[in-house]
Amino acid sequence: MEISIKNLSKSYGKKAALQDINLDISKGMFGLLGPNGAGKTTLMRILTTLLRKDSGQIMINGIKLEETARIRELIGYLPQEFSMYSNLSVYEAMDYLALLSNIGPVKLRNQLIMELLHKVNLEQNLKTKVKALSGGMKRRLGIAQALLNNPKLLIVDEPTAGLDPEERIRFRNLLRDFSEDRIVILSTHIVEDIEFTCENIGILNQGRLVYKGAVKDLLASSEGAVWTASIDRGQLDEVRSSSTIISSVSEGDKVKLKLLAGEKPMPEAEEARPTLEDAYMHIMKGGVA
Amino acid sequence: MFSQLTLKEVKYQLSNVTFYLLIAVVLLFYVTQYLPYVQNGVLPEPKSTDGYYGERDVTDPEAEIKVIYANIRMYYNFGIIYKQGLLVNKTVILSPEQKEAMKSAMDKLGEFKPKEEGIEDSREEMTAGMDRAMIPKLKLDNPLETVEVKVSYEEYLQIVRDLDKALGGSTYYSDKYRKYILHQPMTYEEAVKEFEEIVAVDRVTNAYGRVFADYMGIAAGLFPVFLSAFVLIRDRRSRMQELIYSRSISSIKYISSKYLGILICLTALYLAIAGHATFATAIAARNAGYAVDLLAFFKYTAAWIVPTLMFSTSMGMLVSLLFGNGGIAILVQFVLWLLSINSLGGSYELYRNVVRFNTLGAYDKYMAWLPQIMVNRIFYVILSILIVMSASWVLSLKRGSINGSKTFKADMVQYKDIA
Ligand SMILES: Nc1ncnc2c1ncn2[C@@H]1O[C@H](COP(=O)(O)OP(=O)(O)OP(=O)(O)O)[C@@H](O)[C@H]1O
Ligand SMILES: [Mg+2]
Repeated sequence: MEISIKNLSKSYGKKAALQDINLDISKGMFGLLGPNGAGKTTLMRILTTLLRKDSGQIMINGIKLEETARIRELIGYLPQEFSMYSNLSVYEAMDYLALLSNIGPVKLRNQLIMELLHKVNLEQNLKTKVKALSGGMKRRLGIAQALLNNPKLLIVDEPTAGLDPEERIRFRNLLRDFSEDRIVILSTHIVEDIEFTCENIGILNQGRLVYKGAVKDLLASSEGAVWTASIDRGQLDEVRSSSTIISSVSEGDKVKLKLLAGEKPMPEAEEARPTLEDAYMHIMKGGVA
Repeated sequence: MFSQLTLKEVKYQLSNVTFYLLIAVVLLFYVTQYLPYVQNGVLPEPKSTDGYYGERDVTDPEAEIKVIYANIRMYYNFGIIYKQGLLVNKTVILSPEQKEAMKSAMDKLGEFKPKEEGIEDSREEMTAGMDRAMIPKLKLDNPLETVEVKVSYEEYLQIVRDLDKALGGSTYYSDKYRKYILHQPMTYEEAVKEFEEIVAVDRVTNAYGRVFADYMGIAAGLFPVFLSAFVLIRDRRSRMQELIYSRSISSIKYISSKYLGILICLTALYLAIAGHATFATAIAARNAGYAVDLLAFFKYTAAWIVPTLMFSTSMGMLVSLLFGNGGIAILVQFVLWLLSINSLGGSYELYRNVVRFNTLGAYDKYMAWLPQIMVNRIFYVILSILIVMSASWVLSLKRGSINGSKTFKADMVQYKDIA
């Protein structure tokens, strides 16, 4: 199971949403990181055949993306905005979507639905209307429906947005469980989401892929670029103009800073061990990976 | 699997308020338009003392002149005429010059010479388009008995053509439209013959079945679009397009299941009403001692109405999909519907998706028109299937441009870009 993307570009009118993307993705969890408007949803919609690319070649498991019928059998998708016909219950929604995935016999369908709802811990809510579910439950239902056709490629668009920390962790673990024997592509703009779940990531910024590779390589790439320093409040403006401040904490008259700089920015600065968040900031500010 | 999907659509429609509104409207049509025909039992045998026996088409040249004379005289007295319009008839108030033209045409054609005092002069107005069963027994003017003709048929033709010109054209005196007003009262003998035909050939129920299908077909030509125009829009409104369109179901299967689901609901409704009509009519006819055809209403419903339902359903789906808008689909259907229903029978051009036959009995006419009716109905069955296929094709294109513009044009641009 492998996805290969070559020279992919897509624009909406004059607005370029994706520019010359080259990326290979193989089995396991893949994190797609990027700020709002980076092009994450656009890329996912192209992969799910919902949007046509302008140029480039994409193969999923050796099948050209243009063969939509075969591609659709391979994929499961949880859109960024998951919503259902308003009158359906959890079970009815699953049943309907299963039929749309060509899952035939009633018995088989029923068994499959119960299995999946059990996995996402919704078996107590069969009769609950979808619109009455909490944000977290809705997202879990979203994952269950995306798994109905046992997809080789599971694509989830910002599944943790709007969830409380506890739900978020549960959701990430759920995805991890499902990533065995398949590719799971997860998009997010929260670094923490991918830190402990994904081995490989891609970072999108304004339609360009600014990083691709392993999480640990990303960390290594920003070594020597992250510094901490305690400075006087008065110096703050000066420092801000010469380097990028990641965080600042007041300590009496002093301010404790974490900043990005190619070399020691001031005598009192000390090199810090970069976190993934720091590395992400480094990349986003144009640091070379 | 396909059948289960169809069943889901049926279930949805059974919980859809619009569907119940549609049922109410169709029932209203039935109760107000058809049921009065059988309210007081089926067609009674004509009696020689009835006086008025309904209308029939004019066949005799002299009778034609008399009927036209009476028509001119009546509208001359009213001071207005009607003109055939594209969708509805236009009323024109006569100017003094036009009144003069009417008067002069009338005087040339003949003379009004009633044999009795106090004869009513408005037969046409009161009885136009009505059937014997619907009309109370009236003593009315019969132009065949009250008009004296003064011209030959050729002279008459020249006079009415000139009159049409003087009135600005498109009047019912023109060669094109004259046939619409050429009716004359039936005689007792003719009425008996027609009655016997209805009893023997149509076994009563078939004659009523055609009138039933006529009225109920009018409703079928319009109202289904209120369901079909929104069935695909619903996916967008519920923001479910991404969820549905990325699944492996083929577009043709998806569209057909929705189409069939709606069609099943509509057909079931019509068959149920046909069932009631059978009950209301056939029972009355049986009680009156006639042999009946219990399948008559179902036959005309299946052959005349179902193709209309198929068309209104598929059309609404395609147009709403093309324009991303249910309102446009309703508008398109409304115009087609107006064009289809502006005849009372006899016109079955392919652009008419409703079969009109607004006459009780008239087996001869029915037989004469049957080939046209059949061609028309087969055409609409095939057309509907083609429309469903086109809608599937449009959907398959839309599935690849979810974020794009709502209209088909923008999708096509995208499609060409990659093709
Ligand atoms: N239908 C559209 N028409 C025009 N521009 C669009 C359309 N959809 C997206 N865009 C633009 O394309 C760019 C990429 O959008 P996209 O939705 O892919 O970003 P994203 O990374 O998913 O953002 P978010 O984190 O906010 O979901 C944005 O600048 C967006 O404004
Ligand atoms: Mg997005």
